[in-house]
Amino acid sequence: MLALTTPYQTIFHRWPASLKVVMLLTFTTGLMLIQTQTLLLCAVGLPFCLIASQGRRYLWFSLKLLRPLWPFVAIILIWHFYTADLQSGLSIILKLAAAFTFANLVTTTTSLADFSALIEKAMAPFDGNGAQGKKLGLMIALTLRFIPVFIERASLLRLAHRARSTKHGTWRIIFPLALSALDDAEHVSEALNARGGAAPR
Amino acid sequence: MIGKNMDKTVVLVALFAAVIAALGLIPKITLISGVPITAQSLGIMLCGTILGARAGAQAALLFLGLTALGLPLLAGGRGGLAVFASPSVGFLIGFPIAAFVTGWSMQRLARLSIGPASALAALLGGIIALYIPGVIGLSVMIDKPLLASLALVAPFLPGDVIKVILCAVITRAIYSARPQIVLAKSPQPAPDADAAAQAADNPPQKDEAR
Amino acid sequence: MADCTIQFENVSLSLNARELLKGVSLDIQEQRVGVIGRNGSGKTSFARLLCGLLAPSSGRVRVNGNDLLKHRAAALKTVGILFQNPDHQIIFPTVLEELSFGLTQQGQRKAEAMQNATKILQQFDRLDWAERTIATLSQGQRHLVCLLSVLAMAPPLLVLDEPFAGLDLPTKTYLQNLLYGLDQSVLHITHDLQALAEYERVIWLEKGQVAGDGLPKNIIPAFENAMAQVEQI
Repeated sequence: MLALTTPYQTIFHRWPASLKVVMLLTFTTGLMLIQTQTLLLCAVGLPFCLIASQGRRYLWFSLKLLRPLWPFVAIILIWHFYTADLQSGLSIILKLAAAFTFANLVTTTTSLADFSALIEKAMAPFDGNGAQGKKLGLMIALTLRFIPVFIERASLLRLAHRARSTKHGTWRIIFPLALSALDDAEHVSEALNARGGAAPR
Repeated sequence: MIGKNMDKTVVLVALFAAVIAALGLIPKITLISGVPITAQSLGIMLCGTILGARAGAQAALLFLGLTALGLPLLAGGRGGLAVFASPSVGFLIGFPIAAFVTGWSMQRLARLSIGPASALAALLGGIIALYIPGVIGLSVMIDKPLLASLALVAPFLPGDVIKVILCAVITRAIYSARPQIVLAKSPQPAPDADAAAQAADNPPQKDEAR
Repeated sequence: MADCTIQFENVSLSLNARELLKGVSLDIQEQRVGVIGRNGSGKTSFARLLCGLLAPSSGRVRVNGNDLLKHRAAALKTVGILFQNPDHQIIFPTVLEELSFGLTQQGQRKAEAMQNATKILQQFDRLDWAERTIATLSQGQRHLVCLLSVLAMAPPLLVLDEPFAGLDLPTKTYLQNLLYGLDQSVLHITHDLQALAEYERVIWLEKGQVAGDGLPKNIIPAFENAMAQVEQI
């Protein structure tokens, strides 16, 4: 199961997850409150400088991750072109790109295991006997376990449909997929029960 | 038995979160207007109509949580904390709200037959309850007035209406195939012919752990 | 060899207005027991009652003197069940996590559980599987993971509910040979009559009741004859 991690090693990989998350939250909140142009340019530059410090390849990789923002950038540019207010349009775009990039920085340099450990620690004060943590851990594991199963099942269903029809029924597979999930739930909960269940020990 | 019910709920929530993720990989259909529609919000509606309000919302939250942790589960292979820094963040936050409202509406509409009930529930949850945070979020992120933001997302509405209809069709089919869920979900069986016959055979179970 | 006694005292089970088992009484102490019967004969219900996963409508089920339905902690230490489809029983995305789960359920600490799970992988010469994701394993390999997860919990009784259906011959042979060498008592529900040839006892269930009970060389041919005469499915 792929995670959005980067193949390039950076110093951020070694920073603790809690630190990175706090930095991200501080940055994005701060970004929202900035009014002056110069301060904005400095703030926006920060994530890109951090990334650039780790090499050209990582920088290029991170810039490519900005692709999903294109439609919004286009809309904003067109809008602000019409209202002849390109400067504020640009500052919106820069803020978006900066927050997006910082968030990507944290995501690509933190493993799932580190994030899980962070969540466990964060939940600990609220989770007396560990029951909620255990349930959450089980749910995460089960979901990760079954995503590839359902992906494969979906493609098998599509294949089965193609074998009997010339039409495009991409969406016809949703019903059998959902039904199979319900049936699987019966069996899996039985297997879970057979091994002690989700209840606290 | 409460223990067993909790196991069942834990598993259902997890599996449906996985279904939403798998639906992200179904190729987008492009409408005549050139707007792509993805299957994931349909998955959210189904979480509401099939699992109910609480479990449905939990499934959506679990899906979001895993996406936030970096898994590329959103349609198009997107994921990570960055998606919450994107202009569509309102719609993401709307996912669990939409699932909850859909499920909640299903329960309130228990007197209708499954088809119309799910259509209405999906409309209330999957469109209204989803678009409100969605449009607000968009408006904040790109710093534009609400009405303008609504206009920007309006082209997606026809696709979402199609999803509401699909949700009703699929939910109805699921309930016919597995009538036990009806009895597990609603306080009283719906006056559907199928469900009534089933109710005669199996007295409804007390579901304390819901 | 681990000793295990199973007692069914006049057990009946009805679900959804269907009678799945009717007044079944059995006293089982053999090490290798097979259970055969047509689909719908009650074999699966039998297995689940045995493991304490279902409550009988009447009668008592005891394994080593314990009521496994009420005493789940004892159940985890007494019986392990293997179902037909690995995808219905593997809960975790990686092999080591899956194996460790049963051990943490039995009360071991996480680190200890992972150590013991690694040990059992080593025992079966599969140490390189520790970090592998289930998704990358073949069906036969997943069956093995299921078996190992159950064996890791070291139960004296192993219940197999048609676990090898659909596997190719070499995989099936491999897994069956593995089972044969185990210390555990094994109760094997199967359609594969050949696999039961060396067993100590075979129980034939038909329409929720015991239609035959004895040595494989007696029960299996009788069963085969009866099946050959079935005209309708």
